[in-house]
Amino acid sequence: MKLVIDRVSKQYQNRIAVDRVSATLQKGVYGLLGANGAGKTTLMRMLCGILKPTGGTITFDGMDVSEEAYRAVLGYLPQDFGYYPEFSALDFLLYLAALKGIPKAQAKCRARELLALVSLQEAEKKKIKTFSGGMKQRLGIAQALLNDPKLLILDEPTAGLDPKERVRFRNLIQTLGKDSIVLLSTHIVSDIEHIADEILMMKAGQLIYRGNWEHEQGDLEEFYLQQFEEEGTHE
Amino acid sequence: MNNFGTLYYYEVKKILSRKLVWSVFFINVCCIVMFTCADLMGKYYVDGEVADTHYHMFQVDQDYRRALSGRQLDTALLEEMQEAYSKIPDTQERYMLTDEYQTYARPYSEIYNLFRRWTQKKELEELRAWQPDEEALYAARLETMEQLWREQQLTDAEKALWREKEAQEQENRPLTYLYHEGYTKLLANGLNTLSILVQMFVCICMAGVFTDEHTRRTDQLILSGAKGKEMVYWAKIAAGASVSAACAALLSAITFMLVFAVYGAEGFGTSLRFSAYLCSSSERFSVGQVCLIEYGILILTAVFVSVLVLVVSELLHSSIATLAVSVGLLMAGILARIPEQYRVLSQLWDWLPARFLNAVYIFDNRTVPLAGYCLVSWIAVPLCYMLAGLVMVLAGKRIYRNYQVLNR
Repeated sequence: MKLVIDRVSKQYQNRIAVDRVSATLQKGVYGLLGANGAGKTTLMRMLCGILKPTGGTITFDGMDVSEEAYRAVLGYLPQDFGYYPEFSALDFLLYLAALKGIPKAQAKCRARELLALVSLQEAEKKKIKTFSGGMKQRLGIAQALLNDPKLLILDEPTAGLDPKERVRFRNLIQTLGKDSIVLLSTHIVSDIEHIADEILMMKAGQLIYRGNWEHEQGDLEEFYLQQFEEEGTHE
Repeated sequence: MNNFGTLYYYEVKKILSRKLVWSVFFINVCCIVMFTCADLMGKYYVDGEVADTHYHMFQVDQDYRRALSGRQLDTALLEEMQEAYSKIPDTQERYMLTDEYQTYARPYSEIYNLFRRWTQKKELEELRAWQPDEEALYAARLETMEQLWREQQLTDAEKALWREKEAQEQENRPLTYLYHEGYTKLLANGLNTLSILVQMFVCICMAGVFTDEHTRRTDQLILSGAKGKEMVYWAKIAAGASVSAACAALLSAITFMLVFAVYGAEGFGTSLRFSAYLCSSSERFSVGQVCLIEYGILILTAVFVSVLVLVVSELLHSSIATLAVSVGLLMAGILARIPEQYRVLSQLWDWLPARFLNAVYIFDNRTVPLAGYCLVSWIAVPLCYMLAGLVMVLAGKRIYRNYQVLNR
């Protein structure tokens, strides 16, 4: 199981959002850190095949990002995404299950299983328009897991979750990381410092740090903030 | 796995769960009820005084027409009609107000109107001077048609085609008059009104099928799904097209039911020659067959317009812009007209969905020359719609596949 990101770039007219990022990811949890505008979301969108890179390639076990087979093993939770207000939670998951190519018979069981996992089983028939922000986020997490993804990309997944849910979610991610590649972006350091096997840090579209973060290296948050300060000094 | 059925089901559900769809549909039903009953409401005034109600006048005429139903359009009937109209005093300017007209002539007004259309003899004096003869009447119709074909600048091949159809219809002479008021209503303005309502529904309700995914930001989930770049597109097109077709079929069914309930459903087999609205057509159909063809084309047009709106919406990524384009096109079609002298231009303009859904254009005497044949409009235009729809759907797929989720 290998995700290969090879010199991936994204350029908009006169701005480079992602600049020749290369990395090879294998099973495990990867924490992607970076300030707003660092290029995290752009990179994740390219990894999900919904944004075309202007340069470079992305492959998962040899499958190109543009192939249907690639998307079949992908689970994606976007940073800011919408719902169908008139759909119930179960309908929403069944629709996305169909979209991911999961057979109808299997989809219902899997949807109920995931609703239980994110503590929404009581609300499966309720319309999404009645959900709180946290409930919607949990539903978003459930949809990302529908197809037992081998590659799970989570863009700011803890936004809107209360502290208790956040802890539950971290444990879930840790479990998922044992069998798949989980790439999780956040700007909240505490979300990843204990669960990420590796830290990736982005700044101005470039990958400025990649590696394990051990206690001996000091406080990750401090290191992360230093990058901000440096950015401020440059400005 | 093929999940097309499930995706289609949810796409239809998304469309039908919007309040806008039901609001527009309800308004359309109200409009249909109004247009069906409007002619029967109100009073008829003569010199500022109430002379009758429209409903009573309709009932009287309906009884007279029903009394004529089943009679052959032969010399005997023409003589009766002429005799009845001869009783009207010739000093009267508005002969319809005379007692003689009301008592003797009005029961034959349907035949007199047909005589006027076929012979182009518009004045009462001309009828009085005319020698009733069925042969002369049918010959006069042919003469009127020849004149019309010249005015429409038909080619020799087209004239030959219609002459042949007129000759074939001669075999059924004398034609039998049947009461067909319901079909007249459906042909005259039923189809026109309904076509505008259906196209409005499609323009308003289909503009958001693709664009709502972008504005709601659900496009990220869809496009990152295994089936999101191909099957969802087809599911959306199928959902939009079938909801539009269902709306057209349902509104047509409501129109048929209402019109038949008010005006009666009898007369399906009446020759088109008796139709006040389509007597200029030489097609050998009955009014009932023409209605079925027209309302079938309405459903096909709804599908075509829905494909157009869906593809334009994916191109523009804005439901407001899509609405502006599609409604603008609809309004241009309704309001603007190109004179028949510019034969090709006017014919193409009349093929616009907003114009074509009119009995006169569907059964247009102007045809499409194709490999030595004259292809009639009611076949050629639906074929063009299907072909254009297919091209648009394929172009739309390309646009959809290449969509990029950018920062917003």
